[in-house]
Amino acid sequence: MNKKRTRLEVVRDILEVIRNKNGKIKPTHILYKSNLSHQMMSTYLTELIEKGFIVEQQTKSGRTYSITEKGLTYLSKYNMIVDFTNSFGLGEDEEF
Amino acid sequence: MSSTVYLVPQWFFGIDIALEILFAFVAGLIAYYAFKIYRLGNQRESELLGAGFLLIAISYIVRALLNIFVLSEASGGYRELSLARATMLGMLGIYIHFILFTAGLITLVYMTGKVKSERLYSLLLITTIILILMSNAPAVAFDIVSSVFVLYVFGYYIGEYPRHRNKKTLMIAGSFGLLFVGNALPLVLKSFGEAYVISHILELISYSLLFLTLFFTLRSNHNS
Repeated sequence: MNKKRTRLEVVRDILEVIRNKNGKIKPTHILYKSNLSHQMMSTYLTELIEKGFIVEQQTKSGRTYSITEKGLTYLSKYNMIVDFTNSFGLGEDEEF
Repeated sequence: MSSTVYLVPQWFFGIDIALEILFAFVAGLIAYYAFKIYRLGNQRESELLGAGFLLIAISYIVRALLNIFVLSEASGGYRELSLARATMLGMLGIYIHFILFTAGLITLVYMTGKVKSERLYSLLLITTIILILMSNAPAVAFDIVSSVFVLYVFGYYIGEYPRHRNKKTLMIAGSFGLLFVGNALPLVLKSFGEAYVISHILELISYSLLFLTLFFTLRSNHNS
Protein backbone atom coordinates (compact mmCIF):
# COMPACT_ATOMS: atom_id res chain seq x y z
CA MET A 1 0.00 0.00 0.00
CA ASN A 2 1.31 3.46 -0.84
CA LYS A 3 2.42 5.62 2.09
CA LYS A 4 0.30 8.78 2.38
CA ARG A 5 2.10 11.88 1.29
CA THR A 6 1.98 15.41 2.63
CA ARG A 7 1.37 18.37 0.37
CA LEU A 8 5.08 19.21 0.35
CA GLU A 9 5.92 15.68 -0.78
CA VAL A 10 3.34 15.75 -3.56
CA VAL A 11 4.72 19.05 -4.85
CA ARG A 12 8.24 17.61 -4.72
CA ASP A 13 7.16 14.48 -6.59
CA ILE A 14 5.46 16.48 -9.34
CA LEU A 15 8.41 18.83 -9.75
CA GLU A 16 10.87 15.92 -9.82
CA VAL A 17 8.85 14.20 -12.52
CA ILE A 18 8.91 17.36 -14.62
CA ARG A 19 12.61 18.00 -13.98
CA ASN A 20 13.57 14.42 -14.80
CA LYS A 21 11.88 14.72 -18.17
CA ASN A 22 14.34 17.43 -19.13
CA GLY A 23 11.86 20.07 -18.10
CA LYS A 24 9.06 19.31 -20.57
CA ILE A 25 6.33 16.81 -19.90
CA LYS A 26 2.75 16.07 -20.88
CA PRO A 27 -0.11 15.91 -18.33
CA THR A 28 -0.68 12.19 -18.84
CA HIS A 29 2.92 11.47 -17.97
CA ILE A 30 2.64 13.52 -14.78
CA LEU A 31 -0.56 11.65 -13.94
CA TYR A 32 1.16 8.32 -14.36
CA LYS A 33 4.32 9.20 -12.48
CA SER A 34 2.84 11.29 -9.65
CA ASN A 35 0.29 8.68 -8.54
CA LEU A 36 -2.51 11.18 -8.15
CA SER A 37 -6.08 11.23 -9.34
CA HIS A 38 -6.78 13.39 -12.38
CA GLN A 39 -8.67 15.92 -10.29
CA MET A 40 -5.91 16.20 -7.68
CA MET A 41 -3.27 16.50 -10.37
CA SER A 42 -5.20 19.31 -12.09
CA THR A 43 -5.56 21.11 -8.77
CA TYR A 44 -1.88 20.85 -8.04
CA LEU A 45 -0.81 21.88 -11.54
CA THR A 46 -3.02 24.95 -11.38
CA GLU A 47 -1.57 25.90 -8.03
CA LEU A 48 2.02 25.30 -9.16
CA ILE A 49 1.46 27.50 -12.22
CA GLU A 50 -0.08 30.26 -10.07
CA LYS A 51 2.79 30.11 -7.62
CA GLY A 52 5.40 30.19 -10.38
CA PHE A 53 6.91 26.73 -9.92
CA ILE A 54 6.02 25.51 -13.39
CA VAL A 55 4.86 27.00 -16.68
CA GLU A 56 2.36 25.59 -19.12
CA GLN A 57 2.98 25.68 -22.83
CA GLN A 58 0.57 24.98 -25.66
CA THR A 59 2.18 23.09 -28.52
CA LYS A 60 0.80 21.48 -31.65
CA SER A 61 0.75 18.14 -29.88
CA GLY A 62 -0.99 19.54 -26.82
CA ARG A 63 -0.09 20.97 -23.42
CA THR A 64 3.33 20.53 -21.84
CA TYR A 65 4.74 21.67 -18.55
CA SER A 66 8.23 22.79 -17.68
CA ILE A 67 9.85 23.65 -14.39
CA THR A 68 10.97 27.17 -13.49
CA GLU A 69 13.93 28.43 -11.46
CA LYS A 70 11.63 28.74 -8.47
CA GLY A 71 10.62 25.12 -8.90
CA LEU A 72 14.24 24.03 -9.06
CA THR A 73 15.00 26.07 -5.95
CA TYR A 74 12.16 24.29 -4.15
CA LEU A 75 13.71 20.93 -5.00
CA SER A 76 17.20 21.99 -3.94
CA LYS A 77 15.92 23.34 -0.64
CA TYR A 78 13.32 20.65 -0.05
CA ASN A 79 15.03 19.10 2.97
CA MET A 80 15.31 22.46 4.69
CA ILE A 81 11.68 23.28 3.93
CA VAL A 82 10.53 19.98 5.42
CA ASP A 83 12.80 20.22 8.45
CA PHE A 84 11.74 23.81 9.15
CA THR A 85 8.08 22.92 8.64
CA ASN A 86 8.27 19.91 10.95
CA SER A 87 10.36 21.63 13.61
CA PHE A 88 8.13 24.69 13.83
CA GLY A 89 4.94 22.67 13.64
CA LEU A 90 3.80 24.16 10.34
CA GLY A 91 2.01 22.49 7.48
CA GLU A 92 -1.39 20.97 7.06
CA ASP A 93 -2.64 17.78 8.63
CA GLU A 94 -4.07 16.49 5.38
CA GLU A 95 -2.24 13.77 3.50
CA PHE A 96 -2.57 12.47 -0.01
CA MET B 1 -5.76 55.37 35.09
CA SER B 2 -3.45 54.90 38.10
CA SER B 3 0.29 55.39 37.82
CA THR B 4 2.69 52.56 38.41
CA VAL B 5 6.25 52.69 39.64
CA TYR B 6 8.84 50.17 38.49
CA LEU B 7 12.21 49.80 40.17
CA VAL B 8 14.83 48.42 37.87
CA PRO B 9 18.33 47.58 39.22
CA GLN B 10 20.84 50.09 37.91
CA TRP B 11 23.47 47.42 37.28
CA PHE B 12 21.10 45.76 34.82
CA PHE B 13 20.46 48.87 32.79
CA GLY B 14 22.32 48.58 29.55
CA ILE B 15 22.40 44.80 29.84
CA ASP B 16 18.63 44.70 29.35
CA ILE B 17 18.94 46.89 26.28
CA ALA B 18 21.63 44.63 24.79
CA LEU B 19 19.50 41.56 25.51
CA GLU B 20 16.41 43.10 23.96
CA ILE B 21 18.37 43.90 20.81
CA LEU B 22 19.59 40.29 20.78
CA PHE B 23 16.01 39.01 21.19
CA ALA B 24 14.92 41.26 18.33
CA PHE B 25 17.72 39.84 16.19
CA VAL B 26 16.78 36.21 16.84
CA ALA B 27 13.07 36.86 16.36
CA GLY B 28 13.86 38.78 13.17
CA LEU B 29 16.02 35.93 11.91
CA ILE B 30 13.22 33.42 12.46
CA ALA B 31 10.82 35.76 10.69
CA TYR B 32 13.22 36.08 7.75
CA TYR B 33 13.55 32.33 7.27
CA ALA B 34 9.85 31.74 7.85
CA PHE B 35 9.07 34.17 5.01
CA LYS B 36 11.73 32.52 2.88
CA ILE B 37 10.15 29.11 3.49
CA TYR B 38 6.76 30.64 2.67
CA ARG B 39 8.04 31.90 -0.69
CA LEU B 40 9.32 28.40 -1.44
CA GLY B 41 6.61 26.21 0.06
CA ASN B 42 3.62 28.58 -0.04
CA GLN B 43 2.36 27.37 3.29
CA ARG B 44 0.11 29.83 5.06
CA GLU B 45 1.47 28.82 8.45
CA SER B 46 4.99 29.83 7.41
CA GLU B 47 3.74 33.30 6.56
CA LEU B 48 1.94 33.58 9.90
CA LEU B 49 5.00 32.38 11.78
CA GLY B 50 7.06 35.01 9.98
CA ALA B 51 4.54 37.75 10.69
CA GLY B 52 4.28 36.78 14.36
CA PHE B 53 8.02 36.80 14.96
CA LEU B 54 8.46 39.99 12.95
CA LEU B 55 5.97 41.79 15.20
CA ILE B 56 7.74 40.43 18.26
CA ALA B 57 11.12 41.55 16.89
CA ILE B 58 9.85 45.08 16.29
CA SER B 59 8.33 45.15 19.78
CA TYR B 60 11.72 44.34 21.29
CA ILE B 61 13.33 47.12 19.28
CA VAL B 62 10.70 49.52 20.61
CA ARG B 63 11.34 48.29 24.15
CA ALA B 64 15.11 48.67 23.73
CA LEU B 65 14.68 52.21 22.40
CA LEU B 66 12.39 53.01 25.31
CA ASN B 67 14.98 51.72 27.78
CA ILE B 68 17.70 53.78 26.06
CA PHE B 69 15.43 56.79 26.52
CA VAL B 70 14.93 56.01 30.21
CA LEU B 71 18.68 55.37 30.68
CA SER B 72 19.45 58.81 29.38
CA GLU B 73 16.89 60.42 31.72
CA ALA B 74 17.37 58.59 35.01
CA SER B 75 20.03 58.92 37.70
CA GLY B 76 20.83 57.50 41.13
CA GLY B 77 21.15 53.98 42.56
CA TYR B 78 17.78 52.66 41.52
CA ARG B 79 16.23 53.95 38.34
CA GLU B 80 12.56 54.77 38.65
CA LEU B 81 10.13 54.63 35.83
CA SER B 82 6.82 56.19 36.78
CA LEU B 83 4.11 56.00 34.20
CA ALA B 84 2.53 59.10 35.66
CA ARG B 85 5.75 61.12 35.30
CA ALA B 86 7.06 59.60 32.09
CA THR B 87 6.96 61.74 29.01
CA MET B 88 4.42 61.13 26.30
CA LEU B 89 7.15 59.45 24.28
CA GLY B 90 7.94 56.98 27.07
CA MET B 91 4.26 56.10 27.56
CA LEU B 92 3.79 55.75 23.84
CA GLY B 93 6.78 53.43 23.64
CA ILE B 94 5.45 51.18 26.37
CA TYR B 95 2.04 50.88 24.75
CA ILE B 96 3.52 50.29 21.30
CA HIS B 97 5.62 47.50 22.78
CA PHE B 98 2.52 45.98 24.44
CA ILE B 99 0.51 46.18 21.21
CA LEU B 100 3.20 44.79 18.93
CA PHE B 101 4.24 41.96 21.24
CA THR B 102 0.62 40.98 21.85
CA ALA B 103 -0.15 41.13 18.13
CA GLY B 104 2.87 38.90 17.50
CA LEU B 105 1.74 36.35 20.07
CA ILE B 106 -1.83 36.40 18.78
CA THR B 107 -0.52 35.75 15.28
CA LEU B 108 1.42 32.74 16.56
CA VAL B 109 -1.61 31.46 18.47
CA TYR B 110 -3.73 31.92 15.33
CA MET B 111 -1.15 29.98 13.35
CA THR B 112 -1.34 27.09 15.78
CA GLY B 113 -5.13 27.05 15.52
CA LYS B 114 -4.89 26.01 11.85
CA VAL B 115 -8.15 27.78 11.05
CA LYS B 116 -8.62 30.29 8.29
CA SER B 117 -10.71 33.15 9.61
CA GLU B 118 -9.53 36.74 9.37
CA ARG B 119 -12.62 37.74 11.35
CA LEU B 120 -11.62 35.56 14.26
CA TYR B 121 -8.06 36.85 14.09
CA SER B 122 -9.11 40.49 14.05
CA LEU B 123 -11.62 39.89 16.85
CA LEU B 124 -8.94 38.33 19.04
CA LEU B 125 -6.49 41.12 18.22
CA ILE B 126 -8.86 44.03 18.78
CA THR B 127 -10.46 42.75 21.98
CA THR B 128 -7.11 41.86 23.53
CA ILE B 129 -5.52 45.20 22.75
CA ILE B 130 -8.56 47.08 24.04
CA LEU B 131 -8.46 44.98 27.22
CA ILE B 132 -4.81 45.87 27.82
CA LEU B 133 -5.03 49.56 26.95
CA MET B 134 -8.25 50.22 28.87
CA SER B 135 -7.10 48.36 31.96
CA ASN B 136 -6.29 50.26 35.14
CA ALA B 137 -3.00 48.36 35.19
CA PRO B 138 -1.97 47.83 31.55
CA ALA B 139 1.34 46.22 32.46
CA VAL B 140 -0.36 43.61 34.64
CA ALA B 141 -3.00 43.00 31.97
CA PHE B 142 -0.24 42.62 29.40
CA ASP B 143 1.64 40.13 31.57
CA ILE B 144 -1.48 38.05 32.14
CA VAL B 145 -2.60 38.06 28.53
CA SER B 146 0.84 37.39 27.07
CA SER B 147 1.39 34.56 29.59
CA VAL B 148 -1.84 32.90 28.48
CA PHE B 149 -0.96 33.19 24.80
CA VAL B 150 2.57 31.91 25.32
CA LEU B 151 1.15 28.99 27.30
CA TYR B 152 -1.14 28.13 24.37
CA VAL B 153 1.80 28.11 21.97
CA PHE B 154 3.82 26.00 24.43
CA GLY B 155 0.97 23.50 24.63
CA TYR B 156 0.75 23.38 20.85
CA TYR B 157 4.40 22.45 20.42
CA ILE B 158 4.17 19.84 23.17
CA GLY B 159 1.28 18.33 21.23
CA GLU B 160 3.18 18.58 17.94
CA TYR B 161 6.20 16.60 19.12
CA PRO B 162 4.58 13.11 18.83
CA ARG B 163 3.74 13.80 15.13
CA HIS B 164 7.29 13.84 13.82
CA ARG B 165 9.34 13.09 16.95
CA ASN B 166 11.48 16.04 15.97
CA LYS B 167 13.76 17.11 18.84
CA LYS B 168 13.80 20.66 17.50
CA THR B 169 10.06 20.84 18.17
CA LEU B 170 10.80 20.00 21.79
CA MET B 171 13.40 22.77 21.86
CA ILE B 172 10.81 25.23 20.59
CA ALA B 173 8.34 23.98 23.20
CA GLY B 174 11.00 24.48 25.86
CA SER B 175 11.63 27.96 24.55
CA PHE B 176 7.98 28.94 24.89
CA GLY B 177 7.80 27.27 28.29
CA LEU B 178 10.61 29.53 29.49
CA LEU B 179 8.93 32.53 27.90
CA PHE B 180 5.76 31.68 29.83
CA VAL B 181 7.62 31.61 33.12
CA GLY B 182 9.37 34.86 32.21
CA ASN B 183 6.09 36.58 31.38
CA ALA B 184 4.33 35.28 34.48
CA LEU B 185 7.09 36.10 36.95
CA PRO B 186 6.17 39.79 37.47
CA LEU B 187 2.73 38.55 38.51
CA VAL B 188 4.06 36.35 41.31
CA LEU B 189 7.26 37.95 42.52
CA LYS B 190 6.86 40.89 44.88
CA SER B 191 10.07 42.53 43.74
CA PHE B 192 9.68 43.93 40.23
CA GLY B 193 13.44 44.39 39.96
CA GLU B 194 14.11 40.69 40.59
CA ALA B 195 11.33 39.65 38.23
CA TYR B 196 12.67 42.00 35.54
CA VAL B 197 16.17 40.54 35.72
CA ILE B 198 15.08 36.89 35.94
CA SER B 199 12.60 37.38 33.09
CA HIS B 200 15.35 38.69 30.86
CA ILE B 201 17.59 35.75 31.73
CA LEU B 202 14.82 33.28 30.97
CA GLU B 203 14.13 35.07 27.69
CA LEU B 204 17.84 34.82 26.86
CA ILE B 205 17.76 31.04 27.32
CA SER B 206 14.50 30.87 25.40
CA TYR B 207 15.80 32.79 22.39
CA SER B 208 19.03 30.84 22.49
CA LEU B 209 16.98 27.67 22.09
CA LEU B 210 15.10 29.22 19.17
CA PHE B 211 18.37 30.30 17.57
CA LEU B 212 19.84 26.83 17.97
CA THR B 213 16.71 25.29 16.45
CA LEU B 214 17.06 27.52 13.44
CA PHE B 215 20.79 26.86 13.20
CA PHE B 216 20.37 23.08 13.24
CA THR B 217 17.55 23.29 10.70
CA LEU B 218 19.64 25.32 8.25
CA ARG B 219 22.64 23.09 8.84
CA SER B 220 20.61 19.99 8.02
CA ASN B 221 19.95 21.33 4.54
CA HIS B 222 23.58 22.30 4.08
CA ASN B 223 24.73 18.78 4.98
CA SER B 224 22.14 16.95 2.84
